[in-house]
Amino acid sequence: MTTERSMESRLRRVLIPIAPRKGYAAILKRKLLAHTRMPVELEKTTRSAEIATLTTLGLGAVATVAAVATIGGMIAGLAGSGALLLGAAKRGVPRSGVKAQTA
Amino acid sequence: MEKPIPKGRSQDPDEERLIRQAKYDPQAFGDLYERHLRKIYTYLFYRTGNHADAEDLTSKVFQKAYVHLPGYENLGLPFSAWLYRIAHNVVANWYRDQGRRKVVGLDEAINRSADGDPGSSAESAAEREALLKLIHRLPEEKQQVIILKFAEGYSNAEIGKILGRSEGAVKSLYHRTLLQLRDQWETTE
Repeated sequence: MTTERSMESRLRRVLIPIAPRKGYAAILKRKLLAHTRMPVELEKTTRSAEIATLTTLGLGAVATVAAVATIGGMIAGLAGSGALLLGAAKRGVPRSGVKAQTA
Repeated sequence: MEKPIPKGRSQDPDEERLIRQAKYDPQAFGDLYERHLRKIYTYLFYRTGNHADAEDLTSKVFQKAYVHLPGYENLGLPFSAWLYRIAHNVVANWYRDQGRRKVVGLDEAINRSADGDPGSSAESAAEREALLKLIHRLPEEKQQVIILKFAEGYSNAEIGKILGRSEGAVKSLYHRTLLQLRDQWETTE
């Protein structure tokens, strides 16, 4: 039968303080002290500016893609019309098309 | 009624001076870091279960502490309570982001046992493994109480300050945790 007291002494034996691996403490200390602390307000401002820049870039990219798609569509439309006209010309169909044939 | 927190651990005037100085002097922050590193590391080691993750998270805790120290206000709580809260948030985010629960890195824990006696060994290694697994399955708050009490040696009053609960609430939570562990331990034996 395990008593509460024996459970406590078991926990005391098992849960011991743990030291970091060798060299870790010094490395982290150097890293921390090399870091230039930015005041919290400035950090917030910088983060907002970063977000604004990213948003602008994102919107710019979307606008560019939309413009390219529109131009692409126009070119494809023109090419399609051209091809139809060319095909019609090869078959000897007059430019007035179906109406001319049925007349 | 809550017992006063023992002097020297939480209301240390030397530490208060160091905190004020560390707000603008990185070297003073280095001293604070050295004072608290082992405690925070131990806490994170038992929460994550291995050295690699404990190192990553310890680094995050002290980086956050360093950046936010200028905004730190002494509200009568121990400075370590502030660090433990950062550690608690960091580890909670880590679990949420990673969606993982690792098994405690028992081998390393055993190799670093305080008595340094590898011969207290096979039998106690099995005991440690089983017990650490049980602790790791506890809900977060119960794990915190057990780790702070046994690995860090805090009293119920001090744990209450760290967790933002009354001494009585911690005492009751601790007792329930102990009973739970005892019952689970008996079923594993």
